[in-house]
Formats: sequence, C-alpha cells, structure tokens
Amino acid sequence: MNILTAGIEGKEKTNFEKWLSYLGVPIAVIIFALLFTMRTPTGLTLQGKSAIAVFLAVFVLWVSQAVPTFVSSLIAIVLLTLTSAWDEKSVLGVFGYDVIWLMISAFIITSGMTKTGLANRVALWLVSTFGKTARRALISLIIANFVIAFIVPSTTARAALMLPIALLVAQAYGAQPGKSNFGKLIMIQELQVNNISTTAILTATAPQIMAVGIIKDLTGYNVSWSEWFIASLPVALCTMIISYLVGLMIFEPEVSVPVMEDRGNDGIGKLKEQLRKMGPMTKEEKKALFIFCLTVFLWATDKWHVQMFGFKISLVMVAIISATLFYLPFIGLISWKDTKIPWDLMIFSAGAYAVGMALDKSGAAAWALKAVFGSLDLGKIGFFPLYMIVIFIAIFSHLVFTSKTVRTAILIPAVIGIANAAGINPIALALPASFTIADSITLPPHCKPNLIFYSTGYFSVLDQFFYGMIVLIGKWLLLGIASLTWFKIIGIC
Amino acid sequence: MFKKIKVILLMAIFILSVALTSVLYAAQNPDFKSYKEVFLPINEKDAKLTITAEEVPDAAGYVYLFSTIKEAKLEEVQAEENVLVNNTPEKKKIGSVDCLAFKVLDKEKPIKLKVSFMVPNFYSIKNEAAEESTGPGGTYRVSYSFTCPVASGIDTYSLKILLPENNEILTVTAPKTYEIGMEGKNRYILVNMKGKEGKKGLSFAESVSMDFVIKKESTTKNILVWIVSLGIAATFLVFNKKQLGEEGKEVS
Repeated sequence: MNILTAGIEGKEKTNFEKWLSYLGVPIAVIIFALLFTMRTPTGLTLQGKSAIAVFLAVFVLWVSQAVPTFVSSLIAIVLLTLTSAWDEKSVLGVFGYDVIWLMISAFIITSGMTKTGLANRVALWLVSTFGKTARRALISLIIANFVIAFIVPSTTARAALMLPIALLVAQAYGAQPGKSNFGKLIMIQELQVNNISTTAILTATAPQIMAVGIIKDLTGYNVSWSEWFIASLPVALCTMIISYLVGLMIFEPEVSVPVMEDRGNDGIGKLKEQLRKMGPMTKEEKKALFIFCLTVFLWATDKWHVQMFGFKISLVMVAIISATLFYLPFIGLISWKDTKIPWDLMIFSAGAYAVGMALDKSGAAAWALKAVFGSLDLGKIGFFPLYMIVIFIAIFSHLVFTSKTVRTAILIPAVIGIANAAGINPIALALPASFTIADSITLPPHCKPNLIFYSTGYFSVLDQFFYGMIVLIGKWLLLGIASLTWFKIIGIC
Repeated sequence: MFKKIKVILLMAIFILSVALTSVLYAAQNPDFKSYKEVFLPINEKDAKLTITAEEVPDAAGYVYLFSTIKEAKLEEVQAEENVLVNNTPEKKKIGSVDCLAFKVLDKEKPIKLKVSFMVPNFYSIKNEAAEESTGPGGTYRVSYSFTCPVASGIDTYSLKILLPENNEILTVTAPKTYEIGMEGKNRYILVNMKGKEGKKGLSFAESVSMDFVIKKESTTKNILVWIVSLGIAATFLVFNKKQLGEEGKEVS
C-alpha cells in the first residue's frame, strides 16, 4: 500500500484529495514543530501547548487522509505521551472508556440483528413504506431520529439504536462504504440530526440542564423545559432542514430508488415482495426483537432504574447486557464469528478521543476560549454584533472541547460575564449560547454519536468536517435571524 | 447543706472551665485578614518563601505564622502598623499545627507581618513518576500544601510560586483552578482565594495544595525537533512526488 492511496482503500481520489494526501504529512509535521517549539503563551502549561500541537497535527492527518485514520490515531497516542500532553496511563486507558465499549456493544447488537434477519426486515419495511426514493428514505430516518429523542434522552443511546437501521437502509440502496454519496449522507445526517434534535429538548443531554442551572445561579432566572423547547425548537427544525438541503447539494445521492445488492434496480415492488417472502417473524427474529426492545426500554427508563430494580444500570452497561444476551447459549443468536467489529476504527476512536481529552484535561481548551473572549472590546460593540460574535464562538468552541460538560462550565459563565460587562440582559446571550452546546458535529472525536457513525466507514473526516461547518454556519445565521424575530417575540432578546 | 456546697462548687468549676476555655480559645485563635505566601527562586534549586500576614493580635498579644516546611530557615522578620517585642519567634502549637508566635507591643493594634524563610531544594525534587512511563525526562516536581488551622478562617489567602528562570510548568495536578503568568523573566502559578458575601476565603481545616511538574526550556531539544520534522517533511515530499509521477499526470 503506498502512502498516497493509504487513506481510503479502493476509492478513486480527486485531484484535490491527491494534493491533500501528498502535502498532509509535511504540513502536519511542520505545524507540530512550529507549535511545539514556540514559546509557551502566558496562561498555558507546556502540557496544554503540546496538546494543541498534537491536535492540530493530527487534525491535518485526518482531513488530508495522508495516512489511514487509525495510523493517525496511533501517531497521536505516541505524540501525546512523548510530549507529556497527557500521561501514558490515561492515554492508553481511553480504550477502556465507555464510548469504546458502547461502540463494541453497538456492533454486536447490529451483528445480531443482521444475522437473525430482523434488521433486514425493519429496513425493508422502512424503505418500502417510507423510503420509496433516496430522499424520502433520508427524511424518514431524520424524522425517526428526531422522534426517538423524546423517548431515549441519551444522544449516544440513540446513535447505537439508529446504527443498525441506518446501515441496512444504506445497504438497501447499494451504498458502498467510502464510495457512496448516499451512504455518506445517511451516516452524517444521522449524527447531525442526533445532535441538532438534542438542542430542542432541554433534558436530552445533561450539559444543557447544567447550563440552565448556571444561568439560574448567576442571573436568578429559571429557564423551564417548555421555555427552552419553545425557544429552541424552530431553530433546531430549521437547522435540520438546512442539514438535509446542504447534504443533498454537497453529496448528491448517486441512487434515487432502492437497489438490493443481488437484484439490480428492482424498485419498490420487488422490495415489498421480498418483505412478503420473508414471511412471519422467525423465532430468532422475535428473540432479537425482544433484546432490542429490552435495550430501548432500559435506555428510556434510566431515571427510574433505582425505583424499579433497586440499582442503576448505566447507558453502556445496558448495551453490554444487550450484547451479552445475543451470545448466551440458551438464546444462541450469534457466535463470535458472526460479529463484525471494525477494530481499525476502534483504534482511531480511542486515539482521537485521547487527543480531545488531552485538550480538555491540559486546560488548553479553556485557555483558548478565555483568550478569545478576553480579546473582545465590549465597550464598542452593540448588541447584535456582540450577539453574533458570542454565538459564533459558542458554536465553534466545540472544535477544541471534547467534553460538553467542560465546555458548558466554561462557556456559559463567560457569556453571562460578557453580557453583564456590556450592560445587556444576560439571558439574551446565555440562552441562545446554551442552544449550541450539542452542536458537536464537525469532527469524529467531538462526541460519541459521531464516533459511532464514523465507525461505519461510510464517510471521511474531511466529509464530516466540510459538511458540518457549512451546517453550523447556517445555524449561526439562523440564530442571528432568531434574535431579530422569534427570540424578540417570546421575550428572550 | 453539704449537698448545696457541692452543687455550688460544681457550678463554679463549670463556669471557670468555660471561661478558661474561652480565654485559651481567644489566645490561640488569631484573626487573619489576609495570608499571602510567595515562593521566589534564589537559584535553580532553592526558594525564598515570604509570608505576609495581616492579622489582629490575640488576647495574649501574640500574632502567628505557620511554617509547614521543616527544612525552612527563618531569614528576615518585618512588621508594619505595630511593633514586635522580639524578632525571634516562640514555637507554639495551634491545635496540632506548629506555628511561630511573635509578641507585639500593642495588642489592640493590627499588624502586617512579613517573614522570609530560605527553603532549600524546593525546585530540585526529581519527578520519579516520569521515569516509570513514556514522557519527557529532566522534570522536577514542586509541591506545597497549606491547611488553614485557624478556627475563624482566613478572609483572603493567596499562594504564588515563581519558577526559576527558563523553567516552565509542564503539568499541574493540583489545584483545579489556577492562574499562570509571567513576572519579569519568571513564570508563576497563583491561587487566590478571596472571601465573599460573608464567606471566608479559606475556612477552618480547608486545604490549598499545589502540585506541579516543571521542566527547563531546551534550545537543543527544539533544534532536534526541527531537524527531525524537516527530515520527515522532506522525505515525504520527495517520496510522494515520485508516487504522483508514477500514478498519473493529473496531479502534476
């Protein structure tokens, strides 16, 4: 395998991608040397400076695909420890993080559902009922993802839940990993909708609840669930529409109707016929369905576990229980040979997550955010320009933070401080800034759903980054429009 | 009659013990307005610790300072706003904590006491943990901890450690929130605990710990990084150019 084609095997590269591959390593190495040998800026530790140097160097490698992504993660692991950006024990410990176990469990569940035929049946039903065209399939998956956000509050659990369905729908349309635009669209839109729908529901992720707590503590204003929902829903819905339309423009689907692998362009009638031929559900499918429903039930009721069972079962442990059930001799749905786990992507995830964690743990992310906010001259800026600058920083601050919790803890008090210093209502800045906490859609390590969908191999880091940045610019403009219209009507701005 | 005397005696003992406890409490519980500790490097290894305390003398006319570093040697004592009877302190204990007690001339007046100690080998404790796993060598661990032994707490407490010239902070284990800055040619790390809304900056038994690793800046290391980086970059540029030439003309 040569360096040039090492990024995505078997995929024909465009001229631009070839140039990126060609220049990727030299640029990454020079960026690393520049940052690592520069004088450490005041306020930052050597560890923080090293973390930034490793992050940017590895970021270039991810985007340029100059080396396979899992190799870039191995490089990151070595550099993090050599430069002391994060200690060896912690870096290697990332492979034991819940996100890795969750991904392994999700792939075991997917393997089980695929082997029993249940995933195929669900995908056939979904595509033949709602997805008669590629666009309708995309819309139905977006709606499904949004609707289950009300039932399953965890973004990660929803990603694990949608993964087998998204994979089977992609297969139904003959989408090949790394080659198909339709495959890219399904997977990236799933992770985008997963995150964007979260912004509409206060309780959909803990950092949003934390943001409301900080707002209450620092301003005395208590934002209710319904206030949050009313204020953020229109923005979230419009962002999802932008995500859908932008996706179609960037990655125009190469298919318009389902193409089952061995049937050619059979159309929807054939799919319905295939579904009919599957007959009633087999015993194995029923067992798989039971495990799947049990998983959803446990994820959806996590708040009441202690009352129901006397103990709490965490998100990842529910997934591991579910995966275990698929292997149990009495149930006997799958064996290890049937399990398809993309270990190269697990290594990528561990390394990428370690880089993100190093940015957080070293204080580099907090330093960067404070440096940006500290450079604002508040006295000379009017409300709208200040609002747009703050929201821009809030949205794109996720590029340096892996942890939403850490970002919330630093961002929201800083925003309230800026509002107070500028003499404006802190809610007008802090609440819209809180609507951006779950906007981590640009890079795989920025949140667990990203890693789960990235592990399908359908899209590259560059695909996700490019698409995500455009959607987030759209959301930024939407929040700007909302501050002049919707937020004024409901009394936020 | 005998019973009455017994009750009166018991009551008298009780009242006396309460009064005595209060006197002892007042005598050994100084009232600190501020307590500031600054470590300044004298050379690559040793530090000068300067403690500046603003406090009100206790009922017995004493003011106190706490020195938790056994190796520290007293160097200089200065007083402002009040006068010390003797610059040589008495060694006392507040609870189980060793302290230095200075007798003041006017026990009604507050004092600003500034005491300096020489702390040997403060910056030269090898970071042994680094030798057990991958990471840069030549690192030193700097640790210091202060626990407030005063029952009434301290209004404002600050701890500042300046690093020897050309040294920088590699990692910080404790505290969680801190400030890093430059003072002349020295980098420093600072923790500032100010009391607000009736709450003390540092309450009784509350601790402030600093634990971090320092490393000397190295020009040789930087030159080496650049040589290796440029070498890798050049190799990849040449190697990939060849590959592009072999694969097709569209890129060139």
